[in-house]
Amino acid sequence: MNRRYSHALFIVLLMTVCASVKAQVVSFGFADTIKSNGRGLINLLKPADQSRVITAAQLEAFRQNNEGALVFAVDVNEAASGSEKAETQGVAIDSLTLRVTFGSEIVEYTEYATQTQSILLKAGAPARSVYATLLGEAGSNRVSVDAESVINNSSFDATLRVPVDRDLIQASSIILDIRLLQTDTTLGDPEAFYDFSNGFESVALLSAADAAYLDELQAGHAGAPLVLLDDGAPSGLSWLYYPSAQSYFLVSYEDLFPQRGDYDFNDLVVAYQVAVGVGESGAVRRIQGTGFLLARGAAYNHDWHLRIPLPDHASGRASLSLFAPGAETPLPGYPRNVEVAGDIDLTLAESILNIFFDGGSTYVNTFAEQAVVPGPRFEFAVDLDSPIARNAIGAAPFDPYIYVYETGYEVHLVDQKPVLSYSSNSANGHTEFRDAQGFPFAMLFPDDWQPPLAAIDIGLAYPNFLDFIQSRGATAMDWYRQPQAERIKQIGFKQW
Amino acid sequence: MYPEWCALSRYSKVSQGSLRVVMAASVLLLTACGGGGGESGAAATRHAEAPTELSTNSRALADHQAPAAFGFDNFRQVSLQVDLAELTRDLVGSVFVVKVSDSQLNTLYLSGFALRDQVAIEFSVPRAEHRLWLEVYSDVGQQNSVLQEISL
Repeated sequence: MNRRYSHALFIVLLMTVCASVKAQVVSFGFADTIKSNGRGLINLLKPADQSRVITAAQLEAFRQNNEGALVFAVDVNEAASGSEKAETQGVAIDSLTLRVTFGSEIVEYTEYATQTQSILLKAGAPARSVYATLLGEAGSNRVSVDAESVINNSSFDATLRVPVDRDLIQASSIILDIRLLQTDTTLGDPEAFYDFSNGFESVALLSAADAAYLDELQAGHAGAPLVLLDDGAPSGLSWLYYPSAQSYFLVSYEDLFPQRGDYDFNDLVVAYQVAVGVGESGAVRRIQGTGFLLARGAAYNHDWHLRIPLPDHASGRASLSLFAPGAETPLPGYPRNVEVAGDIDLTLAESILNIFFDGGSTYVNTFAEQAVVPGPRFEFAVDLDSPIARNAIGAAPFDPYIYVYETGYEVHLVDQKPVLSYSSNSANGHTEFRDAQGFPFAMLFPDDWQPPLAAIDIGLAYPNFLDFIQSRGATAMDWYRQPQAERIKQIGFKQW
Repeated sequence: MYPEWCALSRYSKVSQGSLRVVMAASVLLLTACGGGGGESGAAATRHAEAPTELSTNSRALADHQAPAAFGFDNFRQVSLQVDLAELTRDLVGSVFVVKVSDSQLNTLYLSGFALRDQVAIEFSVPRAEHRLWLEVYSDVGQQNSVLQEISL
């Protein structure tokens, strides 16, 4: 009788403990973060919410909930520059140790797994190796099935699993020691993409439900370069970068069209790059890009468009975002989602007079005495419903053009045609984008070109440009690298 | 949209650090004809006309007439056909990476693949750029890559 009573009491106690353990498995964040030097020493008994107490028994509950592993979430928080964008960012893991202290015994776990990997050269290493990677995006807003979860309204991205084969209840200290990989960024992508540059990546411990949610989300995967799955198989897309993953097309305009301008080619200056993602069949599945407004030497107001010619049957969805300088979260009203049917014509900067100015001046980065004002950044991504052959898509640099509010005209590169139904070009017979002297109203430059100061003819700012023109591009091909320094505006936008 | 394949590439032997250089004829087919703005064949033909005379000694564009139909292209379009089977013939690994960079090591193309096939890729390259680099490497590290210089 007494023995039967004890047995029943044990079962009741066990059920109580189990219920308690289950209730405690609610994802939470840690006070410690991965610092800007790429190292995180995360005390698992120290939650970000200081009013909360985390015990070893609770961590054991997480381990059991994840079938013998502790699963962490990392908020990938990188600088959005070059091929890293708000929509897709990445870091790689150099090493990881989970150090558990049981009394006088210290047990170290060094095995771990992430959803993705890449082949990277560590700075100073003689050869590339496969490294686990963490992918993510900025400005996200997660939703958990558990109202108490730290995942709610957070921007946690990638998961990191550390198998642990011992019960943690008796642990007195549990430290996650993680080092991110310092890649050799001089090689460009993929190393430049997977570097760590911003630091202070937050870390959380996940319930199984939240881990499954983040794994399914695959934040940042679609736009990332050289993604291998955890079994080593290549995943994702091959990327063609225009002009490259680290450089930009600079396009500049004269906005008095059809009247001849002053040839300073700084009425609007925009930097942009486009990446075309192709699948194994060689067909295009995704097009994405980014850029900056660099200078504005105009009183007129403009929209800036990027048109990418596609076949009539093309369809998909585009997402556009505009960011204040240095911001990782889009401006109000963004991201904007647009249905694609046929050509992609994206208005990536709208009513620029109202979003890019220098105090009370509409002229930005065009006078010698002006301090450089960083311009807004834009990003876009287009996911096509069906893959399209690369040769069925317009060629780079595509069709970057402006619409001028005051004149009603659109201004394109030479050899392009007007496309907007509401512009005045066709109605007024102004469909060619050359002036009476044969010069264009828009030109495209490599990104080491700097715009001339206001009212300085580009030929005076770059004396060799005329030789390039006169020879039809056969000589002085690097004319833009020999400016008259006092006649140009050094902007240095790649540091924005 | 795209230029015709019009010229075979030129190869140069290079050596860089631990990278093993493999030279393979008929691996690459390179085209560099026409401008980034998509100059037409007709425009290219007109390039053979005599240069336009300058109206003054001034360097200002405002004082000059532009050559007829000149595209003002500071970029040119380059097409490259890569025979991955040939390039990876002596490499070991299960995943191969093809990367094309310019002289500044800016990445123009990046692909991870398991199948060894032909790929055709196009770039938009500044006219002042005279060479690209093609690198193929695998998930197996040192002494297991191919690096080729592509002269434009």
